[in-house]
Amino acid sequence: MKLRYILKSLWMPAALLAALGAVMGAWKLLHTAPPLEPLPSTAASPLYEAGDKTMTVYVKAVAAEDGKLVNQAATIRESKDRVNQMKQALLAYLDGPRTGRAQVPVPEGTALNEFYLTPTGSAVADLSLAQVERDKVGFYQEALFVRCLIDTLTGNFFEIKQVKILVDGQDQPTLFGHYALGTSEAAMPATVNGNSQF
Amino acid sequence: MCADPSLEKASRLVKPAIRFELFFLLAITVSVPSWGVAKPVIVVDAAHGGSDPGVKAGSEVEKDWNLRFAQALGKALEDLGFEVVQIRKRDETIPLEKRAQTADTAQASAVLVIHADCEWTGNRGGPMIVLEPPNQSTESAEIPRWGVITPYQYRLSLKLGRDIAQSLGIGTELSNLSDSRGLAGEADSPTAKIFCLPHQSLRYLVPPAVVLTPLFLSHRPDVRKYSADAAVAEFAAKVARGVANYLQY
Repeated sequence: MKLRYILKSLWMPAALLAALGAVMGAWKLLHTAPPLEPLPSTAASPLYEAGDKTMTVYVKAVAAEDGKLVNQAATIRESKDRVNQMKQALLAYLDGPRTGRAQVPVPEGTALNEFYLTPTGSAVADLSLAQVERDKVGFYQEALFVRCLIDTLTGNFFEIKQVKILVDGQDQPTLFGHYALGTSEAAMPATVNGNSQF
Repeated sequence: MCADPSLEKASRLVKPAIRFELFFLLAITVSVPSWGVAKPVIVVDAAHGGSDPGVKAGSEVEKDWNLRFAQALGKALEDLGFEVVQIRKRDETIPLEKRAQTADTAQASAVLVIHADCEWTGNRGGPMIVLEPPNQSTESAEIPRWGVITPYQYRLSLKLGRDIAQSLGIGTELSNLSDSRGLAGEADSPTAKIFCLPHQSLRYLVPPAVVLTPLFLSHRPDVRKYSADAAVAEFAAKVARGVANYLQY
């Protein structure tokens, strides 16, 4: 009789505790960083540590429906080094979705050799295009590719004033033969306001 | 009454000479206008060719389509009375510098570069017009390598592009993908068909010039439509009309 009374009186607190535990578990599940995909082999050095929090960046993509430019959210790690955040954002763009409603205009096979930021705010993206089938990339896609790359970097990181694209460490007049890349960083100072390469 | 026989003889000799002179003057008056007014020269450049096929989509190869449109455009322009300089007349490799040299020395009133395009979704179709943004380079050492498009040249090319666009019925706004240099407030349409973007084929050109993209090889309806010669000829006639409007010819 006494035991039954004790069980009866403990039922409510036990249920409350269980509910509280479930809520806390759900909260933790929602707020724990989702496992990130392993970084591509182009990342020469580790870009973040295991304990780094996640952050959202917006990758510029193209709406498949009407061709308009749209922002596509991507999760990266909040690395201590800001340049590593930029590099992750750039990798998120290069490895972005090629199908679906929002697609990145990145030709298949494009890879990042290196990325760095100069003290004057010029971001330099050194790309490798050796694996790209060049005869599949026309002027329109080439222009979109450059534009979205610039917008992804300048849109997420206020420190980036200009963007320069190199191919295998070299300054090239064009990526795939149509879109003409800019001359030098000093020559085209309009990147932030517009969409020129520099 | 002339009494002097020598004077009468002289008069008989002079009269036919005066008649001949009058006839000669009349002939010159009639023919000089056609000598003095030369036909405007339009350069048509079928991009790629030879070892450089351009873009490919399935069995469609850009260099072949470019040549086909360039030939149709040349004919349409000649029909309107223009003198046409075709940079590429057959399947051959011509370096970019040589193309630019030919266009720049032809004293052309306009240069039309034909480039079919291709993109990954297959949704986008032509036509599309590209013009070079004005160069704001302050580094003179770079100028010979990259060429210079002054704001004035840019305005002329923009007018040419807009007149062609109007003739094609595709609207005259600039796409918001356009380069913003010197274009404050102009480039604001996400669906426009005129693009102000740096293009390799335009960099070295001095006369007003545009790249014309009649079709996207990745867009099946475009390829189907322009498989018919009549459609190509119709497109060419509209472009030629746009050029004539630009030159008020």
